[in-house]
This record gives sequence, C-alpha cells and structure tokens, in this order.
Amino acid sequence: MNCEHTRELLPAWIYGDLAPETKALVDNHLATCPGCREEQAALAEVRRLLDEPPLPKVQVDVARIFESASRLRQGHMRRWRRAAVALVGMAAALLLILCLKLEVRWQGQQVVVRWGMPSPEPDRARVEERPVVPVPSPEVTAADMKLVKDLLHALAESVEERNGRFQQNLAQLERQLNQMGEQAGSRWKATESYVSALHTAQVEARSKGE
Amino acid sequence: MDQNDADMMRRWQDGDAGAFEELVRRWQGPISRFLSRLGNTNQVADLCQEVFLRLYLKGPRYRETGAFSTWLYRIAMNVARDAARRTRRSPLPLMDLDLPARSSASDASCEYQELTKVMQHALADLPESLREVVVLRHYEDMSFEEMARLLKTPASTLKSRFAAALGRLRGRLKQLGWSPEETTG
Repeated sequence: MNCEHTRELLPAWIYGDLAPETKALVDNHLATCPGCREEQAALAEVRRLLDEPPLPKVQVDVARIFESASRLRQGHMRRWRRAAVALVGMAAALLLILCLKLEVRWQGQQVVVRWGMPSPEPDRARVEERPVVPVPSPEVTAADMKLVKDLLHALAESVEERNGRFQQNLAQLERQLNQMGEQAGSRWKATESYVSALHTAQVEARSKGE
Repeated sequence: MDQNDADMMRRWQDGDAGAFEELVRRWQGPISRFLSRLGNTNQVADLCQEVFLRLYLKGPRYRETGAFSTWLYRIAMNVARDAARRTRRSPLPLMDLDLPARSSASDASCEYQELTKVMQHALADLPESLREVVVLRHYEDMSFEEMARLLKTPASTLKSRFAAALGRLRGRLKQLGWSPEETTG
C-alpha cells in the first residue's frame, strides 16, 4: 500500500470505518511511513477538536407549536376555500361561454359541432318571393302529348271564334259608317239648295231695290 | 429507542397529544445540537421550533417505512437548508482567527480552546454538502449507509465528501501553523 492510497483511507481509519484486513494494511504502512503518520495525527487532532463544540441549550415550546399549527391550518383552509371559490367561478364562466358559443346539432345524418356566432338565417320573405320554376319531367308520355294537342286545338278554336266575332263587329261598324255617310250627303244637298235659294232671293231683292 | 419512537408516533396518530410532547422532550436536545453544528448557532432555538412544528404538521402522514430518527433528521436538514437559503451566511474570515502566541505551559488549555473555536469556524465555512456529512458522521455517529438513506446520496459519494471535508479542516490547521507535536505531545 502506497502513501496516496493510505491517505485516502485515513479518514475512515480515524473513525474506525475500515474492514479489519484493510485496517491492517494501513497500520503496516503507518508503521513505516513518518509522513503518513503525521497526516494521521493531524486528522486525529481534527477529530478531537471537533469534539468540543459550544452547544446552546434549547427548550422547545410545545404550546407554541400547537398554536402555530392551528394558525397554519386555518390559513391553509382559508386559501383552499378561496381557491375553490375561484375555481367554481371560473368553471361557471367557462360553462357560460361554452353554452353561448358552442352549438351542437343533428343535421343531415351527422352531428354538427360549431363554435362561434350562429350563421345568419336566410331571408324567408325573399325566399317566398322567388318564382317557383317547374322542373320538367325528363320523360314525356303519349298522354301528355295528347293533352297538349287538345289544349292547342281548344286554343285555336277559341282564337277562330273570337276572330269571327271581331269580323261581325267590323261589318256592323262599316254599315253604320255607310248610313252616316248617306245621311251627311243628303243633308249637304238640302243645305246647298237652301243656300242657293237664299242667294237667289238676295240677288232679286237687290235688283228690285236699284 | 427507535421502536419506542415509532410507538410514540402511533399513539400520537391515535390522538394522544402527550405522545407528541414526549417525542419533543426526547429529541429536542439531539436536534438542537444537530442544527447548531450545521452552522445555525444564532437561530437554533427558532429552527428547532420550526423542526417540531413541521413534525407536528407532517405527523399524520408518517408511515413506518424507515427509522423515525432518519425521518426527523431529514426534516431538520430541510429546515437548516431553508434557513441557509434565507440568510446566506457570511463566514468569518480566517485572518481574524489567528492562534494566540503560546507564552507558557499554563496557556495550553487556552490555546486548545482557541483551536476548538477555529475548528468550529472552519466547519461552519465548509460547503453545505461537506458540512452535513461531517456533522452526521462525527456528531450523530451515523454510518454512511444511514446517511445515504437520509440524504438520498450513494454511500461512496458521502465517503468521498467526508474525506474531502476532513482534508479541508486539516488544511485550515496547517494554514494556522499547527503541528501534531504542539498539542498532542
């Protein structure tokens, strides 16, 4: 055993922590090495000097412990109560926010979860005003065609009938117009003869007067 | 003694307030000395009070999974560490602790007392991790295995720390010009 190894083991040697065989090895080295002996003596002195500490005498006040513990526990309880109240308040606020802004509904065979403001409702009045465009059936049957033909015939008959009525009215108007023309002609002739007779009378009267 | 402590704890947990008082009476001396040696001489009374207050508060949760003393020393260690964090110690400069000149043989005991004081200061100046090991091994006479359980550190590491701590203390003596022949002879 060399000096370095011996000095590493000296603290344990001083405090009796070495196994007997290791202690024997250290003892053998110390017997032959004055330097390590000096180190061993120094460490033993350190141990001896450590043995004399001035120690204060302390008396623990048990009543004060009970009092302090009670105060601390009350403080803890108060803090827990405050924390619980704050937690409940926060939970309520969170719930309120969730209820107001979260929408869960069943639509089109699926669950719709939506967060945020509700989507704007479509303007019902505008929807109602929008013309309904009939969607033509992709298949036209013979019955449909017959119905359309009948409708066209009826429409044509109606047009012809109305046309006949218009023609009759027109002929009647023409007749009335002719009658009125004849009457106006006869009246014109009478007026002309009257004016001519009057002129003749005036001319005769004027010649008599001269 | 430790079995008695465990019994005492059981009685206290069962509602016997006298058992707690008995534990305090039994342990106030060792714990106050332990705190004092960890370098808290000035506030040892308050710290001791704090240790037993923590014991009182933690008591209902105590389970007999290890030695009561280890559990109590761990509380004391935490109290001491908290105190050290709160008030960073200002170590006494070594220059202020010169050995008195020896004038006669009758002064030997006086010099020895001075050396003791120097050693206490040197111990207080050690880093916390080294000081704890010295206090537990030297004053509390704990084995390194017990210390390992208390400090949750491998025993081999604690042995190294202990050797390093003694080396530093011996270095202080050497700095002061002490030699084995002067006091041991």
